[in-house]
Amino acid sequence: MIGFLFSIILLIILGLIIAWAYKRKLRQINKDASVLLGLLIIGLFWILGILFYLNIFGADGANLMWNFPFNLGIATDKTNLTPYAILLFLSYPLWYLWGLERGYQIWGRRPYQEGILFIFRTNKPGQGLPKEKKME
Amino acid sequence: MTETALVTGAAGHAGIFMVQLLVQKGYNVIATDLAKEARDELFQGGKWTADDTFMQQLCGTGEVQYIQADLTDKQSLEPLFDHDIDVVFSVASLYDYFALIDVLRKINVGGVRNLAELVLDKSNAKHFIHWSTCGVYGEPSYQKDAKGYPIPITENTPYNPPNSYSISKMEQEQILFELYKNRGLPLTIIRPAPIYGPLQTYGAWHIFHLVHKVGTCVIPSIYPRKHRLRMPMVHVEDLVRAALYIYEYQPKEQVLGQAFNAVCDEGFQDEFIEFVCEILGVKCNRIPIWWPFYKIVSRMALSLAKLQEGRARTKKVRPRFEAAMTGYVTHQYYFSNQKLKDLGFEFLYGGWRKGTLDTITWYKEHGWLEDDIQ
Repeated sequence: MIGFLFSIILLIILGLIIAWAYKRKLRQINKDASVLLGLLIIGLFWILGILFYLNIFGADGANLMWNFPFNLGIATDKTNLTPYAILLFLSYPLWYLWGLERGYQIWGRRPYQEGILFIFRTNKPGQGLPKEKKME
Repeated sequence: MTETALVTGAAGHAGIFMVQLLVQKGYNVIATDLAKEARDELFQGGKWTADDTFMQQLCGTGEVQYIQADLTDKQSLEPLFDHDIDVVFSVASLYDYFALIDVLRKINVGGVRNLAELVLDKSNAKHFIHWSTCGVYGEPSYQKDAKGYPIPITENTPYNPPNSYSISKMEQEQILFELYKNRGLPLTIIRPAPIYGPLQTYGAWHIFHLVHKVGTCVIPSIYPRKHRLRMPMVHVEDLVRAALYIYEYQPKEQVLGQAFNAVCDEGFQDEFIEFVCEILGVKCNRIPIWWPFYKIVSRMALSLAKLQEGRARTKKVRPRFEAAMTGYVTHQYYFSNQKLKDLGFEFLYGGWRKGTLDTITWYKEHGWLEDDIQ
């Protein structure tokens, strides 16, 4: 994916979205869904990012990785930035996981959870009580 | 000869356990409560109480007679006294922080006065054991030990009720003590800390339910440590055992006209919540926090709870947790159980760990706290 900064922001947002989808539906399909999707997304980001960084898609790839979407004024031709680039690539899973965890906090992790939003919502009549038939 | 006990509020949480214990111990039991529909209406659907089928099962042993009555309707109480009653366990009250003070007064003060007067006029009961609450103390100014840690308050602490429910319980106690002094009501008052245990859906249940539903938890770890908030609780089984223990205690003079705190041994809120999270499989993080800053944050939580309570009132539904309940995270409540222990009473659930584990396991086994494990 183009740009380290852009990738990191996107990974966080994707983490949030997948946490929401996981709580609503994905967990019922596969309890490992958020991790499996995460592996897929991060793999994709790595492949595209590395190909960009190695200028496979054009001569300006490395510069774009550092200076997209905002021109941060990082001069890629004067300094060897590769060790920092490797560190940033390696940090991708952490950003995704960070977004995922925040999503779980907001929406909950399991189908019956409501996350922090639970506190800010009001009950419907009778909601919150266990069903009496479960006494049997 | 088999003794006969009258249990009011028998279809509520503590009432059910009281009836069960009395049956186990071989008492004849007269159990009474409002009709299910009336209870549901009173609690605005916010609390689980036993239905008639449950009560019939409970009373199916033959030693229990279930008679529906209303504390606020003196006439409806009269049939209860057709029986020769030895002891009254006055459990019934409207335990609802969301209820308006007028309703609370009508039931908790007026209703209990009706009951106590009938006990005096129409029975030869030897003992009237009444359920109050540790909430009548509010947050007192604690004496401190040499290191500056608070010392738990005793039953002699003056009243300082912080909310409508506790005010109604204070007024209830005052009326009963008056009847004890002026008319010889054989009174003992039990002041339970927040009760927990199976079947409960109001009070400690809200903590379990909240943690379970939110699915994530931040635990403030207060510094300096002397300000750490206590977690006063009592398991429902210990509470009813304590009530029966007081009734069976001899000499009676030592317990008549007295109040007893029913609270398990000390524990701290942060450890309790951490333990609950662990049992419920909820991820939690401890955040060390400086006491003055914690007070600001907890006041904000209280404001949020009040806001939610207002919204709920507008929508004519119950809030998910009442503002009065958040008092436990904004104030220090620390009660001594020494007076009860001095009688020789031993708690089954001295600490809260075993009781909490058992209670949450019960909720999970009965599907009251859901999971998605196949």
